Amino acid sequence: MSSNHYCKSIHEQLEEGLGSLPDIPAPEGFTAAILARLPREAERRASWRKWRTAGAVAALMLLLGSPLYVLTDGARPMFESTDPHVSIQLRGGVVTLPAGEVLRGDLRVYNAELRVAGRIEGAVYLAASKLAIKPLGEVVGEVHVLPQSWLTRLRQGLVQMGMEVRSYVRGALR
Amino acid sequence: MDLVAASLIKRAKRGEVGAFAELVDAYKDKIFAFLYRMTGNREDANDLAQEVFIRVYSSLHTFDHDMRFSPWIYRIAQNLAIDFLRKQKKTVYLDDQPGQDNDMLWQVECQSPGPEEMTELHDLRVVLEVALRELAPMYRMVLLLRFAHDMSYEDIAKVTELPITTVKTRLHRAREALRQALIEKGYSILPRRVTP
Repeated sequence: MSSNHYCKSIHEQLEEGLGSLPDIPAPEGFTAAILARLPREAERRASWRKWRTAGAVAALMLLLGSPLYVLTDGARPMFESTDPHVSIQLRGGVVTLPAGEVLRGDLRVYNAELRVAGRIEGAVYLAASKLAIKPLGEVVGEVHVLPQSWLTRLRQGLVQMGMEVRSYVRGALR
Repeated sequence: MDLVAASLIKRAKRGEVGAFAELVDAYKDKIFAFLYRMTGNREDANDLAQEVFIRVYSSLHTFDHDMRFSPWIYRIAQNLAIDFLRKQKKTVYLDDQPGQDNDMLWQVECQSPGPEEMTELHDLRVVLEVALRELAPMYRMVLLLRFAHDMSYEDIAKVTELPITTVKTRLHRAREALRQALIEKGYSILPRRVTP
């Protein structure tokens, strides 16, 4: 054996042989076969992802949206009635129950002046609001003045948000 | 390759089926070859390889981008292969039988590489394919991962979930078992003199 040669060990030869094993290509149409199996899986994942996303967005809206509403939009005049059939007007910071209207339920008013010319059979809740009962107006239930606590403001924010969402959904369905 | 895979996975996670198809194209031959040599059957290897990629797809959301893709996909492949071999409970033979001439002698003399040696190298591959099939799966697996798929000890440890020292020991024993398998089949290997 000359000096510029050396003998490869048996193990090295085995390793070399293993390293030179030929490629074995996957069968024709392998990728297509897998992709054909994916839609059901993708659908399942997409469906889960969609609901998860919707849930996350809703939770985020509640968590961030409510305080944001309170901070940015909390002073907006608004009202909340438990009787959906009565016609109540809101203009320029004044909530009016017109003469002849009967509200069979409670009424909450935020950041506004409530003018009652009709009849309210339930209670009235006033948050940062004033009450004016017109000559023909009547409030049968109790009148409560709500404290200006964060809870009141949060409730107002949530109610406001609910109204916005309902309005948005109605618009989208039209 | 793993960087490309990471990018494809990110896109696939966003729902790009095309990116997942690219990922399959990039790894299908390696995974198929690995499973073919583990199972010894083309149809079983095809079924298992498809299952590997379906599992990859289903688990994309769990893929940690701090990890490398290769060890991850090979771990899925080896788990499926082990499950398959356990269920088989019998020796599996390749459906196409290379090197059926069992009297063939592979012997490399101490000489410079030449055309004859190239032929012998081809013969060696054929013989190795046959001998590999007769090794215990745990030996076959580490030999394939290390030498046919160029994996580091660390990556093999990740794939097999064994300590690196165990991987090294197993590799050493696997080489010895392979050499023994060759000898038992009548093949002899002599040290080969080559130009450094």
